[in-house]
Amino acid sequence: VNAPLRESDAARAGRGVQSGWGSTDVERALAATHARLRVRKQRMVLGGVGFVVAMAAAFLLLFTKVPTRPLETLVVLVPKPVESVTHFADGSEARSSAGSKVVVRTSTATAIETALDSGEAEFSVVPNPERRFVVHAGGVTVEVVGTRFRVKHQDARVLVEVSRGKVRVTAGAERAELVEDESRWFARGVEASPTETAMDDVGGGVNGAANAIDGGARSAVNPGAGPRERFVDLARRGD
Amino acid sequence: VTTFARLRATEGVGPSLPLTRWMSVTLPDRPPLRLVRNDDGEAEAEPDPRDFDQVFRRFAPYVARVGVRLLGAEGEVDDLVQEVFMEAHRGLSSLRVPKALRGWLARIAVRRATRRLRRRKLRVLLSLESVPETDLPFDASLGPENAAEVAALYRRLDRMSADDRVAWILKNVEGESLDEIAAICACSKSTVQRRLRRAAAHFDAPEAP
Repeated sequence: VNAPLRESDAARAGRGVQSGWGSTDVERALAATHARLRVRKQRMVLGGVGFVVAMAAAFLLLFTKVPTRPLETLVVLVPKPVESVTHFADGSEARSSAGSKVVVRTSTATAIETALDSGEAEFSVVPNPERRFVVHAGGVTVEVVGTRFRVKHQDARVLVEVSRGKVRVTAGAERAELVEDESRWFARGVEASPTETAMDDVGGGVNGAANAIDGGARSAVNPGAGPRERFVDLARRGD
Repeated sequence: VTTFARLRATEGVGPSLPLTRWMSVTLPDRPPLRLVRNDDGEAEAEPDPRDFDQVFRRFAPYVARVGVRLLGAEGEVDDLVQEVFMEAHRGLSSLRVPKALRGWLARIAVRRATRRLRRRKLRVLLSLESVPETDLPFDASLGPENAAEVAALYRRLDRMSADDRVAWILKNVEGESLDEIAAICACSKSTVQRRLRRAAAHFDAPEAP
């Protein structure tokens, strides 16, 4: 087996190798080749169709404007900054926003009467059945016993919004009682009493009512003045 | 006229036949029938390159013979022949010189066979496949000792590189000239000579165990 093999002998042996293919083998191979060519053609057609579809899709993606949904407006509710806080002697308070005008008309042990001439204010009233707490706002009178509510001027209307307790509202001939989580608009009317008498009891009220107007709450005496200036102002008038 | 114009475009220009005083028809021209000698030395009509079936029937035995000699395994020849003609199918219509058909098919067959030989060597190297036993149909008239020589020949060929093996078979078995081998293998003549020298070194010496 391992004997030397001369190149000439190897060539002769190689020439003896034949494929042995007859016409039957040729026809069989021809049929098989045709079958493979058909498969290749089908693949090419499918590939071509796929390519065209892919190109069309790419074209559509690139050159057509997809309608985009507009961004929804984001509404963020930010509470208005509180400009000033008016403290009453019984512990009640009124938080008014910038530009608002809160005037204290009466502040005694049995009654606190205040007026909201403009803007809005939120009142937090300490419950006390023996004391009347009234807020006048453009002809609308809000009377409470103990609650937390908001009064707001807007155009020719006044909004009364109750967040705790119960209030009685009088707007001209209209009377209404609002309970917790209720709000209602009332038409503005003509106020009966002038605002100038509002601070009569400031500093001298029973239980010290409204003796702590601070935080820059505007009063009818001198809107924009601090507590000290207001006191001096009242003293000059002999009150 | 349109039909004939189309024929002219595909078939070539033939003689013009006058139809009327103002109109003539040009008949399509067919290439003249040529006779060539086949591998057995018999005269036969040169196949039309545009007729795939005719080309296949004419050259498939030749491609199969070259394939079986190059690969040394009969089992792969069927597949090789189909691959060669599938590749040829694409460029067959563009072939203008029918004489070049045989050499062109030989180039494709050699390229495909070389690729198969390299893959086989790689698989053997990675121990994914054992060295195939030589199982070749050979001319029985040469005697039983020819079978032993063929086996010894392919054992030596299996140790050569694919390029050296192809060059040696084309030169010594197929009887191709150096120029033809260079054209078939797409390399220079000196490269062919170098490959032949390397291949010859495997002969005239005892076979390594």
